[in-house]
Amino acid sequence: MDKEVEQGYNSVLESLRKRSLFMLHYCTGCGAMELPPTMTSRYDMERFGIVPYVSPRQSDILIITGYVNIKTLRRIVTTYEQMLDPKYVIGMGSCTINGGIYYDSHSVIKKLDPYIPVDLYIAGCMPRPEAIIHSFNHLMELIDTGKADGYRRYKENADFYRENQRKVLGEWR
Amino acid sequence: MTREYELNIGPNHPGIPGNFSLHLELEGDTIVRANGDSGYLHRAFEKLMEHRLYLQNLGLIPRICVPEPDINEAAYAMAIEELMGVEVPERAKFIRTIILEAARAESYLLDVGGFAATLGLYTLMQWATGDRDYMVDIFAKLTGARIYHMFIWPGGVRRDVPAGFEEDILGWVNYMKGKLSDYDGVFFKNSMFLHRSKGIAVITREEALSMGVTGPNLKAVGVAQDVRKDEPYAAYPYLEFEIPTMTEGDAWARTIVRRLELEMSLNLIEQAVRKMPKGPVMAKMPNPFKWYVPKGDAYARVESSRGEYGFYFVSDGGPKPYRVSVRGVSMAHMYPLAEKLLIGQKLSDASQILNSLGICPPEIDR
Amino acid sequence: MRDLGQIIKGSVTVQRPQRIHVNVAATDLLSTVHSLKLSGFNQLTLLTAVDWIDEQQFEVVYLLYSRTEKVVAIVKARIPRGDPEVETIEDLYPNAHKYEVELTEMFGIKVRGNADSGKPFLLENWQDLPPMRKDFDSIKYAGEHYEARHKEVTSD
Repeated sequence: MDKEVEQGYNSVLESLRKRSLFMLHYCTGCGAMELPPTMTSRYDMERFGIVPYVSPRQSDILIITGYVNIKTLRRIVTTYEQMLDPKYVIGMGSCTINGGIYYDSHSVIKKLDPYIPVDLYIAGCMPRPEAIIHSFNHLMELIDTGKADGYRRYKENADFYRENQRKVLGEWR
Repeated sequence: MTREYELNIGPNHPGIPGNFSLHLELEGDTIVRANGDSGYLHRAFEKLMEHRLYLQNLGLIPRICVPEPDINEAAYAMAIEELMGVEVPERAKFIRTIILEAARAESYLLDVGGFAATLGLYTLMQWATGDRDYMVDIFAKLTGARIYHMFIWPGGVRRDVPAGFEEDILGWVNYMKGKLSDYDGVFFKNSMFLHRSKGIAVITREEALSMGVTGPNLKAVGVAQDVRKDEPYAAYPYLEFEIPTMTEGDAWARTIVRRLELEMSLNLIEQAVRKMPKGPVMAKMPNPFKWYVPKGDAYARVESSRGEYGFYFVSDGGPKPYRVSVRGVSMAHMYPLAEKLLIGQKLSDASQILNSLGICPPEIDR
Repeated sequence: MRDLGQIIKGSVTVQRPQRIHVNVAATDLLSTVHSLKLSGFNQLTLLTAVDWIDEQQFEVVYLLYSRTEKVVAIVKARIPRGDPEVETIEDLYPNAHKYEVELTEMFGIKVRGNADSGKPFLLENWQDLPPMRKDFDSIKYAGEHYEARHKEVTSD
């Protein structure tokens, strides 16, 4: 009986959570050029309840917009650890998937997965605002079915992530 | 008694124009020293361009300066044409001019929207980003992509304009001209904007001339220097225009110069569309796999919406560039100039000063 | 153009309008830049270097612009590749400071007189060769340090 109540309570919570997600306003790469049209009145993402917010302590979604420089990766991991559970990461653009057009650069990482857990990838260089909104809808479906559990994976496999971060960033933490 | 302390306006901040960090030392509310910290967007373009053929580089170079990608393509094309001795057909020159002026108008709209947002006046940001999007749609019809066009190639442009392009772009120009009086009423004549930007961060004429400042920042101290008049390229010899200047040199004058240049860009697009001749759009270029550029070096420069932008190109006769060095506009504006201008200002004006100078971090980091 | 050939101890060539190429010896570089500044070239546009590894030399390039004549002067000087050094010009042109810091970081050319030469600017915790040199292989470096995705990712 308690388990059913808990499951019902969780499903109500998830359906409320998915309707008011705060996105952290952190433009990490060149994919951030397509964020102003998505946020303003042309492609309006605020009708889905998604609003850009300034503080990592009060946001839910971290969008990695494009390629990740090695100097920015350190700040991304620090920001990700400052966010509170439940939190979701979206990897935008093909540079987070396989390094993209900068595959032979000495300061750009080729894969975002080993360093922070990613829930969703958007393909493109760069993705259109409609693709970004489509991915937000997909994220809401994942939250409903309970599959967006990147934050749990980060806590359970903390050693794996720490080891990968130490390999590229040197000794820290 | 006030204490000294350090503050870091770090990369995760909505007031900073891009991914860039500023270390400040403050005494109370007043800034005593400022140091910029770059490198968060460094991709080493100059090294990547040496590994790729001249044709493969065309996909890489628009990403150097993200808000206005067409100036990169134009500078690359002009440097290669100078070394190879290729003459661009007349129709291609006019199409290049239309694209460069439209990209400049888009960049001005994005800049002024961001500047208004740092002052807290968000209506202008919504209007400017929305109106810019209509031009992005026209670019998508012309080139196939919204932001990174890859349309200006060495030798001309990639293909001719589609049917109905002239009506589309003249329709956008007329729409924007009608909206300019609304923009004036909401922002440029708004007393909040005037109070917060008059007298802030004044550049003197000697400082600007000795520090290598170019673009609207230099026009705001009264020096009419513009690459389109000093060394005309593309179709600018056939068009008529005057360079706007102001004399005050503060944040207000820089924004008003940008507003006057926006109007000038719309007039230039109209003139170029009306005067465009018929003809081919691409000169005869060699087979891309056997494309060798003769030995030598060249410096090609264009006028971007922020100042003078250029490529210094060295070739050794092979199929790949030997050395390409990018002259980014914001390097001169940030490193001696903004660090000096911030001293003595208040903390709450810091992000507004950086936005009024038009600093774009991808140009510094490359 | 005026008689720059009389005040400069190198070779001055004109290949196209509004550009002059000046080639000088490394010891005459500072005095050439002084003379050009007195003749009206008072904007420093760019300061960079080229690595001619086959000849074991670096070529330091200064681009100076004259506002009254509207001419860009490309001043080049060759220095030896082993233990390279140049003199600073930041008292003539204040915006040369950061270009010289980048020169040391990317090529390893020391700049005498610049207090920040040797400090990091764009790279953080960099232990390897200066990256813009031709003997630094960035493809090999990227392959060794950063994990790559070796299989296709599909999602249905």
